[in-house]
Amino acid sequence: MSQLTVSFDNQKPLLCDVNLKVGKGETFVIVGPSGAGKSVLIKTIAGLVRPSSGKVLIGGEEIHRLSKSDQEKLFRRMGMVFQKNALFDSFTVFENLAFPLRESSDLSDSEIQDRVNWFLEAVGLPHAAQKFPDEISGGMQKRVGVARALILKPEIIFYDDPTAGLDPITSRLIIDLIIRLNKEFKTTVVSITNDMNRAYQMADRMGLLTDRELIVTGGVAETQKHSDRRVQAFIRGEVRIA
Amino acid sequence: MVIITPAIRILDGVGGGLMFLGEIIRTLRKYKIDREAILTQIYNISMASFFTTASSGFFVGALMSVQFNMQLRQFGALSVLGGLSTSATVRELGPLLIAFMLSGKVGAYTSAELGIMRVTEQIDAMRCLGTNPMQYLVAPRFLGIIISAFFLLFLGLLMSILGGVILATLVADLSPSEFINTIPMYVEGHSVLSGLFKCLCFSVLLATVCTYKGYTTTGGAKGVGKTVLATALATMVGLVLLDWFTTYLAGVLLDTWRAITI
Repeated sequence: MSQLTVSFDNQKPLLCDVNLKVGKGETFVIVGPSGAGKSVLIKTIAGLVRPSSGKVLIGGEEIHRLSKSDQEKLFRRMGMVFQKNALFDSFTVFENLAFPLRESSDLSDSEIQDRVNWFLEAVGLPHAAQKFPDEISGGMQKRVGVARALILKPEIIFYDDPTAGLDPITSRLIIDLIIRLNKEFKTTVVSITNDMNRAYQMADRMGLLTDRELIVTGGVAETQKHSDRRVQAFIRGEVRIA
Repeated sequence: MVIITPAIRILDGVGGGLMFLGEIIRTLRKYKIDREAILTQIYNISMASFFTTASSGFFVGALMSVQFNMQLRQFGALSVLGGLSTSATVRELGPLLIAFMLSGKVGAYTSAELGIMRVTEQIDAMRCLGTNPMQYLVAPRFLGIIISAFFLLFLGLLMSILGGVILATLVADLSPSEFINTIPMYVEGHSVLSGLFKCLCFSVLLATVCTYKGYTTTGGAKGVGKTVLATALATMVGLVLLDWFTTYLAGVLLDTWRAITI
């Protein structure tokens, strides 16, 4: 993406001239204080929020300029895990996973069943298949969200704060799961979090979103030694809430 | 500014609603809509609102019968009670009052349902899975509401005649046959067509407003609350304005038709 600016209702821009390039198969983690615009940034990259200016290219295609049908085709090559999971509350866990396969693939019913069962096993939830989202815990919902986002085997996946609201042990397990599945499917990952430990755990490269700009800090070691005082302040937990 | 700002907001809402209707029509033309999803919507809406519509239709008819009885009794013209009260009910008050009832039930339910899906990001999730929410969520609801609301309004009108007959028997000492026999004198084919045309227009308005308001909800629980309120308000004001417009249009069409045929 280049020169990305996002503002709402003609107000002061939330993001200003943000530039980023993520390579194929890379895991890029965006960290930053609450309210800095991380979710808006990832939703803009994923095509859900239209930027005021600038462009986002995914595989050479400018996502916000595509026709609806071309956008739908591109969306099928991407996956997204939402901060609050966004599971379909009128569907069971099984139906949540089967939905994208039924709507966006040519798989037969038995193939859908097999693939859903494989993913339920992979995220450790075969026993929850017939439960509704409000009948399972937050950590389990997150795992269903991860499985649903990966079930179409996307090339790119976006994680909007995948450990938000989870305890440290569950957070670590979720990140382990994400890393394992991403390695298995060789997906390109863009993730956001405000938990530095989880960011270090999964990132190939990182960036700090603060003061409406994205500071690309590099790998974990480079980030830890980065010269920008805002990066160091955030790592040490000294940054003020935006 | 006190008048201009709300006026701009109203125009913005009307424009947004019309553009949304255009988007639904484009979706209906371009995409295949799941028949089972439409039938499910029709079944759910019809079953949930059957009793409400039937009873409100019954009481609208009963009310008109009582009101006309009081007026006509003064002129000794009770013999035309059936024709006059049924004509007024079928052409005017019946579709409007029954549509009000439906807007409270179907409109509020649908806008809240879509609104909650919007604020909990379920609609965004659907898009991210390569599914078109207009095709999967909005279009089946839109068609389901139009078909079931039209059916329910028609049912309500039939029930209003029944209500009129029963109350006329009770308060005006008219036999059912005396009531019914005068109906064809005042309720002609064009009156029925006008009533049915209104029902169709009201159904389209109701379906458009509640899906538009629900789909464009912003904010959390408060946003959903505002959406339901805005849906109720927009639908009721819209129904009154549309009632006036369809009456005017029906009058113009009838005059034109008479001028051609006579």
